[in-house]
Amino acid sequence: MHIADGILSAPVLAAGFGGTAILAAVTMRKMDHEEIPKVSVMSALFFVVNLIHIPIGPTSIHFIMNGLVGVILGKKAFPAIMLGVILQAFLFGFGGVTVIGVNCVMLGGGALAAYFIWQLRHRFLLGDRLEMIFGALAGVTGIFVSGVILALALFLTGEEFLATAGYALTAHIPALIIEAIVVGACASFLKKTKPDLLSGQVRKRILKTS
Amino acid sequence: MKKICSLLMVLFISFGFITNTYAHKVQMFAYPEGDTVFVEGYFADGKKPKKSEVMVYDNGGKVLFSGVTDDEGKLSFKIPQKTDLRVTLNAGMGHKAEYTLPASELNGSNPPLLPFSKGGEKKMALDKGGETKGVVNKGGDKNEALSKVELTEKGRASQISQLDEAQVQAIVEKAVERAVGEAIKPLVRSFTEMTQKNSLTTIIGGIGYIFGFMGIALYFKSRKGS
Repeated sequence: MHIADGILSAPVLAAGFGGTAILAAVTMRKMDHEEIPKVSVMSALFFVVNLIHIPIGPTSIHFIMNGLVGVILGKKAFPAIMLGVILQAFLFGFGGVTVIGVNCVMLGGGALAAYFIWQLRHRFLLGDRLEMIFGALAGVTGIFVSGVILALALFLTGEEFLATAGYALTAHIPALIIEAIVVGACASFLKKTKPDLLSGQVRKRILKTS
Repeated sequence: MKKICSLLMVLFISFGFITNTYAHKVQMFAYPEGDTVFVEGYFADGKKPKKSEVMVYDNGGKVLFSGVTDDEGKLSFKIPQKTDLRVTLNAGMGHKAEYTLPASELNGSNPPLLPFSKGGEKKMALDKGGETKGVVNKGGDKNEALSKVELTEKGRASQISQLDEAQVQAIVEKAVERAVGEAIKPLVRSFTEMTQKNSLTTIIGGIGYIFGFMGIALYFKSRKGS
């Protein structure tokens, strides 16, 4: 889902860098000791998981997992994904160096949207299944929002919006389904074993710090 | 600490799934043969970019040729102009690749079957990009040789004994060049693919970077705190 060099127009690239700078500044404030290793581990996970291809029938898909990063890190997902995207660009030529900004906004924005959906779970009372359902929804949201931002970036450079968005999303349907399952399973597993690893566990945090 | 250990475990177990560590990145490869340029695109996971737009530009960015790849991800076109050709392949959705063919690699507009297309000295070397590198054409007698060819083409077989030494040399060199070019083509291709592949070493290197940054961040945090 990374955009390569030489496709987007200069204003879009500049907007990407600007957006990345703003989002990074906002999300990186007040990072405490405990969060830094967590961010690094999720950054490493994101970095690796993008490179793993799983053959399914005639084609192969690769995970994006920005939804999972959002669920676990909350707002801190953005710096994690930014670091991953920068390293992918420099080490693998995944995306391009000039497109780092746009790719960060695209994938990190998906993660932030996933976190937003994940937080909505506090408004529902679904008992045991709550984390699983909202984890799955967050996984879907991560990819969906990234796909929309991708289509938007291409649209601003001159491609047709709806066609591109439709194409981008249909290409990622297998990834959507698998990631919904994986993120849902991860979320419900972590809820049972290590609940404070998940983001947005308000009550737990207060208890712990006091 | 325990939770971080378990996350790390998951991370390393996931290495087991690395069947191929290719990206969805599109790659392309262009090579001249005679007066035709062959363009071949492929996604790094082996799929072919079908019906992808191929554009050819000269140095100044003027479009010289545009076309669409077939189901095999291939396309060929006649050399439009003997300058540096910048070939781009756009597979849509932000996947784009570029390849520049230097003018020295183009053999001009001579049909490939004419053995006299070049006089003089030739050099062939593999440079670091794995491309077959250019042909130095020093022969001033090229046009002369060409017109001779046109005159004698029909009866070439019977007249071959009358060719002088320079012409024989030219024929041999041309034939060798074509044979070698043909023989190393798969090598060049696999070399290009190999250099562009993601290796496990690079992945682990990247993870090392991330944890290195974590160490730096923690170091500065702890100094501030104390």
